[in-house]
Amino acid sequence: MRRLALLAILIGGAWTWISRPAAHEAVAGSPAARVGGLAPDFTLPALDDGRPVRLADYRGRVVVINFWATWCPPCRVEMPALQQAQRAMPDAVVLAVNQQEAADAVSRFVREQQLDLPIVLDMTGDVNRLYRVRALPTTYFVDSDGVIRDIVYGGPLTRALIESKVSSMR
Amino acid sequence: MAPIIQVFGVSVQAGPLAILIGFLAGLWLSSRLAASRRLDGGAINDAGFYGAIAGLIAARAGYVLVHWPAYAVEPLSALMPSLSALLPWTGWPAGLAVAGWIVWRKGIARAELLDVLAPGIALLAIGLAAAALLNGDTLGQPTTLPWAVTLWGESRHPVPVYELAALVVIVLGCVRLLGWDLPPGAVALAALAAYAFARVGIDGFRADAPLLAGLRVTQLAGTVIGAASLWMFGELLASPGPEIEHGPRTDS
Repeated sequence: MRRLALLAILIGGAWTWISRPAAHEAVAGSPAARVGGLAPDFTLPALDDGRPVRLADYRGRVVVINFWATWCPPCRVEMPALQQAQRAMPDAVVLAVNQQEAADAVSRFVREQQLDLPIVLDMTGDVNRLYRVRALPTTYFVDSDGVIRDIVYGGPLTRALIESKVSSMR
Repeated sequence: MAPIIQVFGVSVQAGPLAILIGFLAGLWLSSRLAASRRLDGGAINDAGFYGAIAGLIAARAGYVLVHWPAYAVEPLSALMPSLSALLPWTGWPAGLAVAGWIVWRKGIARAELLDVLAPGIALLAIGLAAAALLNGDTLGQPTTLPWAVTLWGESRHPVPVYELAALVVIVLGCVRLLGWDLPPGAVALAALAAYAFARVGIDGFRADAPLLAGLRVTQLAGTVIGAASLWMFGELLASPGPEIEHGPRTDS
């Protein structure tokens, strides 16, 4: 059995060497909405003035991308927590991506809740599909290099959870 | 890839559900096998249940303590039911300690216990591999093979599927070996060796494994653990069985 163990080391070592990833096979730089992947870039109109907001423009800062809608109860509940977290961490960006709703309805909700978060409108659902969002809310935590470090499916998020995730990426 | 599934109209996180099913199935199988080997199956159920509870509590407590500045503002949010606020480095040791304490107290902390736990742990690993598959967590190398899956715009090796297949073979192999007359601990060592070598083989197709000097850490660890387990398995088979004390023959 000792010989078999030695043979196993030789074969295992050989396969480890043969199958080692080549430098060009590294996946860290490839865009994919998964933990460890580069957050896919997008440009969406801002709710307040319609100016284009591009994710890549926030490179160098931690970004919390929150997919939400006004008809989604946990989304509504967690909005104040997102706002409080944004105020407590001005160096990070909380980007609320509304899902395929009319700007009027979103504006009304924002006024009622007295929100001043950056809100963008994904009216076509293209960014939803890009990120393969399956349920609302879904929140992506993106580090300053643009890499997704955590994904939280569902909600409502608490301010403490948001701040803890952001602080662990700094 | 389906991180969220609908169960009776309710959105459920598929990954944690797969892990829960794997855990319960593993517990059930191990306790059944324990009973067939005259071990206390109920004690295994207790150890698994209370170990899991202790592990979850410790994982949450650890997370809150590590991120205390965030939780100090609203301490009650530490009680919110969320799988995102868990620290494995405190959860696993606490869970294993509680489970270990229960089996020690029940007097079943023996090598035979490891043998019946092996297929149960493999079932839990099946749940973990299924969770990785559903979440799209594990990324395979690009390939043009007919069974490739398209993930993030590229055809790739379905690495979690390979792992699932290997684990099913390990579970069946363990159950089969438990029917053989092997020394205590042999089945557990065989299962560990099989899993380690499976990881060496399968991780060769992974695109996202951590690297050490350009080599995958999991393959290096798997080679060492697999060879060591194999060697210990051989030593165990070669060692003489427990000595039977022969008392003085009494002639009536």
